[in-house]
Amino acid sequence: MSIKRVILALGLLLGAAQLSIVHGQLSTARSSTHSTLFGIGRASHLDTYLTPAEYQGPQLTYLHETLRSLQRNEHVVFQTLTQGDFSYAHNQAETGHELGGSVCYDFGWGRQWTDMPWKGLSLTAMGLAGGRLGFLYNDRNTNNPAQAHAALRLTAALRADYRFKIKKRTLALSYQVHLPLLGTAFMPQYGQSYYDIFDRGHYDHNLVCTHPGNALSLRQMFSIDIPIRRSTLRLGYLSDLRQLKANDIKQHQYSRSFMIGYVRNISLSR
Amino acid sequence: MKHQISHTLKLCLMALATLLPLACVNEDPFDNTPEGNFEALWKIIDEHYCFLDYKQKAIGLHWEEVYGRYKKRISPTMTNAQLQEVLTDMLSELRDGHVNLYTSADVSRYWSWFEDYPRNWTQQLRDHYLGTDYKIAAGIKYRILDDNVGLLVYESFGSAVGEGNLDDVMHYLRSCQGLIIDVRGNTGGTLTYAERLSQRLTNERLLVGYSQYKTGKGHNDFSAPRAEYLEPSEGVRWQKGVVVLQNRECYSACNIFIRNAHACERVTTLGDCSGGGSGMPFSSELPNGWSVRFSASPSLDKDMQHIEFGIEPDIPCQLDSADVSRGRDTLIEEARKLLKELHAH
Repeated sequence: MSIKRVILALGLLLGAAQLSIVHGQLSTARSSTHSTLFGIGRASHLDTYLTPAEYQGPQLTYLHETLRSLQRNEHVVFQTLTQGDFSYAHNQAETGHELGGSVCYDFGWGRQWTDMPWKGLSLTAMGLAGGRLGFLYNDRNTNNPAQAHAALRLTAALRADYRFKIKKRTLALSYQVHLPLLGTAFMPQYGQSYYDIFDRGHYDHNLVCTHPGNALSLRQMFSIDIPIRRSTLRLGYLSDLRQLKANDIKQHQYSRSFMIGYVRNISLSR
Repeated sequence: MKHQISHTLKLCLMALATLLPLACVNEDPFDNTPEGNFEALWKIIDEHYCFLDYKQKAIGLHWEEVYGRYKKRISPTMTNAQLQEVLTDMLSELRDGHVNLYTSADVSRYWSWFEDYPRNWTQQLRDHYLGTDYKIAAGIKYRILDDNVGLLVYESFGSAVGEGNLDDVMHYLRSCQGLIIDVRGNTGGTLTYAERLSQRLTNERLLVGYSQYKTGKGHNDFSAPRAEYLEPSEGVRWQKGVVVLQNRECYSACNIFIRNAHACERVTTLGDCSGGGSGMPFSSELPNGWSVRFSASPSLDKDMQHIEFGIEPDIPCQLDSADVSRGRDTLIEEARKLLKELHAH
């Protein structure tokens, strides 16, 4: 499958999905849950274009999630996820540092099953489309000081939600896992400089097709919602494992963060 | 239905748990020991350095043989200074000024490309010719000599020059009968400034060379050579004779400037062979945190020949000690003669 076809297919999907979002938001949204979380954790980076060494250090993460069920079919849910992170890592010898940052956005629909063996449990299978922009900067390299990250992807996701009561308070446990299945990502050639790509305009297969065979990645989040008076506190653990191997370059960005934030439930009626 | 969902979910989670450890994208790390650092450095050069194949043919370099020879000098109890000495000796086999090993104590380097040759310029002579009332436009020093020849000195392409600077320089020197561009001692810097200056020397789009980069770990894994063209500047361009003065210190971006100038019709190069350094350097590092720089992508001349070991001048010329004692720069005087002859014709 050529890269152009993948990009075209992803573009059409994104376009169609955006139209549907507008439609869903204006006419069929019934209730929605918005959560905003901030996290702190550790990240480890590997990018053999910059260095063969793995860099590790602290990471700050922002995660905003919206989950809506649709009026026309209560078993269909719509989800958006916006994630931003920034890390400052160092090599094992602590002689070099890397700054990393990225923003990613995913949205999609899922089928929810509530008729489960355990009361309060629901399962949702989802399909999402999204993209990611980011960078990784190594503070002591010369003509290969940074790597740009740009990717589009289609993702399969599963989530399990479980509501239960303790002393008349309803708590909610949630686990979700996201597995990108198909996409495209930017990648320089093995020894190609950014000067060659952008100053000289020498494009050479710098968009690669991504799939679990060369970019097996996984995002998992576990969270618990605790009602406190009229608000709801959310505590969570986010594990984000991104990988890519293309053009003989290896990349991984692993991060694990403890998250804390709040949840707002909004009901819409007409 | 419930059982189906539960079964499917179990299968999915099992598949994920199995797949992920198997497909981890990692690089096998080397130990932070003298042996591990030696192995890591040898591998970095083996997989990334762009002249291994060329230098095998040109100077008989066999990187595998180098491994065996230097591995014997590594011992687990050696100090950092001893390790750096061995690694520096190994890197010196590459004969490349773009290869360095940076530690907190020292910068390992190979400078024989100019240290083993006559320098062919002195700062005192340059100061004598420039005088005290020369002009400075960003990184360029310039003046008009007594015989109405322009002298333009660019000491380092690490110093910036803008299109406006070059317009002003060309405009100021416009009445001169010829121009001497003295880049002796210029060891390189930013390629953009080198190209910017050379764009002032042509009225036509010229093929000046080719560039490549590595596409894989093999010594011969290269992209197809891509033609590099010198586009004429849209600003003020020099329309008379030019002599470029070069010496063994002309390296890297300056070597590319000489390559480009060499392709221009009105330019004559004079002096010694340039130093070379045609590989754009990349960086990497060792497990102990030492940084290494190496040539990663080669530039070729318009005949697709390597210019890693320098570019011969059109007119070979050496600085004469008798001239030096009289306060005369042999190369500048030869260039003045040449420009007068060109102007007379």
